[in-house]
Amino acid sequence: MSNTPENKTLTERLVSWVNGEREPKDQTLFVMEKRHRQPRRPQPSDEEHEEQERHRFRRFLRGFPVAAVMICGVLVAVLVWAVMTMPAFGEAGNPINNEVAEHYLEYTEEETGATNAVTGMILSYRGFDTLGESCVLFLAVSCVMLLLGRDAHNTDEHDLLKIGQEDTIEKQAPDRILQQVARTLIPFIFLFALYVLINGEVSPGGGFSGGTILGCGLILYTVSYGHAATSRWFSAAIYAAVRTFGLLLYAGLYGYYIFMGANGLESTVHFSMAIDLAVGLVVACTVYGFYTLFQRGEI
Amino acid sequence: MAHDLLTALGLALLIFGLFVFFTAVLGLYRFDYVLNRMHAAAVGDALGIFCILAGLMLLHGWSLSAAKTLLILVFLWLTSPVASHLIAEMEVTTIPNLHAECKEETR
Repeated sequence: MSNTPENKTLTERLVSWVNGEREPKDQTLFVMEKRHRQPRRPQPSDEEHEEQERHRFRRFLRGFPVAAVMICGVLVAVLVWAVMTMPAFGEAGNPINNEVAEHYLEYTEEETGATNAVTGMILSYRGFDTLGESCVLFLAVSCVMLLLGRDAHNTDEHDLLKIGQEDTIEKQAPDRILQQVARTLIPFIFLFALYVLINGEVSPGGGFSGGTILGCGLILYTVSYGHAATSRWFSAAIYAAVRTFGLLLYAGLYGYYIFMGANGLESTVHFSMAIDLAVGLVVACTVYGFYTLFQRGEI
Repeated sequence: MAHDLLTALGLALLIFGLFVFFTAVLGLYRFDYVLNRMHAAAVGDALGIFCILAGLMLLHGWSLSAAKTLLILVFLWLTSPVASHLIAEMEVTTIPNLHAECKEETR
């Protein structure tokens, strides 16, 4: 027989382990488990056991304050020592005021084209780090999709019934107050999100904050008008396309930037703005995807 | 003179707003039931926010920042009652024995 556990190759066993098949239990172990063994010590009765537990608890309580005070004291001593060895706040001779910070403040606009030094730092000098953060968000949504996504295999009648009931309640008795307020607010929320995204290179803001606002606007729309209203124009396919496009746009732009020598772009495109938009798309998709996946297991 | 008066008024509004928030937090801790606690929190959400933001506007004078503060006030006054409404609706529709917690009125 080729499908006994001993004869399987490593790959076959790995595949069956991934698929969740269990190997049959070893019969000899099963027999050993069945044999009744005498306990080594006589079992204490319930009252004795309770008394022992109470005794142990009281002993623990006696030692607890001493240990807590000692731990707190050591912690306080370490922290106070650390604060005392730090240089005084705001003095010109401190180690943070060196030529690196000066260089960034002086040349950011010239080298990256971003008026806001923080944006220039995040998106150009340290853009590889931000690319990694975007990848983390992308992967997080992918993992949640793998774990919580519903399809024909892991959905039973009960789930479908529950979701159908919620949909009918939403359709028959929509919340008029919420809908009116949402209708008033959502255009402004989207407008503000676009403002923060596009204006990130000259003002506080940028991809992460603007994307979060965009995602929250989407969530508000979904909450007030129902899931069907959103998925009519923001289906799973469009969702996947948008978030992949965001990440690829970022990777492509930043790769181009790196390989072109990282300094020759200041006059060609609004580089920071494009990267801000890409990050914003990824973040908005992450926020919205978490909400819908946790709520009903689909986009 | 007018400037001093405005500053004094703004400070008074700020202090009154702090007092309102203090009562809101106190109510949040002292009450047990959801609707009671919501009532306490709503005082802070409406009156406390208004006092603090109006005080800030008076202190800051007539400028773009004051206009932005006004927008924040409008946003909070629009959203916070809706959130309270949703929480209350959830509580009333899902609790099995509403009679035990509070008196019902039918209209």
